[in-house]
Amino acid sequence: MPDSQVPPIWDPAYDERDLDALLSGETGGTPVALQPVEGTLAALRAAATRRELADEAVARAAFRAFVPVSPTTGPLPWGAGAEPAAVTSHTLVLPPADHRQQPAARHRHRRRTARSARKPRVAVTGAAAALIVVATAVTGALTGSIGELTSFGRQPASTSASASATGQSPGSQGVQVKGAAPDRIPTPKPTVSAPPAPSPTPDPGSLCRQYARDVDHPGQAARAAWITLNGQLSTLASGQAKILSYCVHILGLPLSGKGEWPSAGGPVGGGGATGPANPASGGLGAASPGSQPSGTSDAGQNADPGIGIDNR
Amino acid sequence: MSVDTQHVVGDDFAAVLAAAQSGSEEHFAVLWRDANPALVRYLRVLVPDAAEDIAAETWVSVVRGLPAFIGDEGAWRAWLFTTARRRMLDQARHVRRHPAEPLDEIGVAEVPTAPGAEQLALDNIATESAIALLARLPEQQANVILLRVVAGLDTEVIAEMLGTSTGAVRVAAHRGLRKLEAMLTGPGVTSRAGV
Repeated sequence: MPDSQVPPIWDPAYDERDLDALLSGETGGTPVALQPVEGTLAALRAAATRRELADEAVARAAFRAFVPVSPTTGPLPWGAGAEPAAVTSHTLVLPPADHRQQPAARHRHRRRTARSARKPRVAVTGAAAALIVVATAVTGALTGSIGELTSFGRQPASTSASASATGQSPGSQGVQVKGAAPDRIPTPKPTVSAPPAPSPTPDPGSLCRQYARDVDHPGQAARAAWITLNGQLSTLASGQAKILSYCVHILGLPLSGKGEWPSAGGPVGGGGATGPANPASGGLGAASPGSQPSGTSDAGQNADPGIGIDNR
Repeated sequence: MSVDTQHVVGDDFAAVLAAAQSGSEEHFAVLWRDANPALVRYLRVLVPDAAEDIAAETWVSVVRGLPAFIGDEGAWRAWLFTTARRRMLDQARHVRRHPAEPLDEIGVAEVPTAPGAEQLALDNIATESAIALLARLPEQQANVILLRVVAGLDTEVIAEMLGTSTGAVRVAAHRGLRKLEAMLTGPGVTSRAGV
């Protein structure tokens, strides 16, 4: 009923003070005309019904989910509640005696955080482990021998000094084996461009030279060729791990007395498959003064003046 | 008839609230049992179809902000009913944006009944009748009367809640009471609300 339809003349038996008393719940002295209203308001204030208390379990569940359970029942440390939301979300809550009181939402949040924090750690650890393995395989396994391998056929920068120390002739194209230090680091090869892809019928010697040249600096552009070369040598050497020793054997280089030399297992173009440093075999790099590499098609390449090596 | 929906906790309110804020579920239950009946009655008058749902949402909001609450029992009730009013307005907006198609009528035989439902209905018939009467008042008048009578809030607090003046609150309350009196004493009206 709109207000406009309410009778404008009120019962003179009561006034506004009586109405205020009704609203305040004051009993006694209520005008007769207002007693039905008093009864209605009293019914509104009546004791709770079962229906109105039926959802207590739901409210308790919400409480358990959102309010952190504290072992003490006293006031919270923040007292007046300065920043309770932030505090509760970061406060370590001791486990309550009753497990049902643990806030599930916080647990879910922490699990998510822990899981997400663990993922990058595992990935980084795995990547680091893989990197160490690769680095060990490339640098560690090649230490002491890669120097010789990469210096194959190159004109030493200090040829005369080395040759004089070892009795090698300056014109020798072999590698100074005796003076080679295990930790020798080959210098960059400025004149070497991206290696061409190996031919379908590769020569093991040339493959090994290619391998020796590019093992340190395969380069982005030559990655595909490097992978192909690696695969071919892996086949020839009967395994990826045996490429180095295979090439040392093929090229007739010593391997510091370590490791077993696999059999060539295939056509050896160098003719130096019988043993290292055998001058008679014509193996490249044999410490034979004045010896010339024979049986290798890359003899001219070995004389590349732009390729130098530091034999210190 | 006892006056049970107001200030049940009384002097112990501060201790009960502090315990609830520190994580005592039992003390929170005391607060809930004290305030929820009034809250549900308030909502049943204003949003009869969604009273329980809104009450539950209100308690979730209240629980989330419980550690931050500062104040006495009056402030607690004001906060509770303010939260309920906000949830009620949210619900009204949602209903306006997403009007629901009524489902098929459920037969009487299919209506679930709880044990003792009849007895409950008889016990609470006066309250139910009072709620039905209040629901016939204009919303503002019913709102003010409920907040004064059921929630036990002062005129000033209600004025702040509703964004109006204390004078307007008083006028609305008085008009509502007079209208109630007219409805109860009018021809053909039979009151079962206590008288």
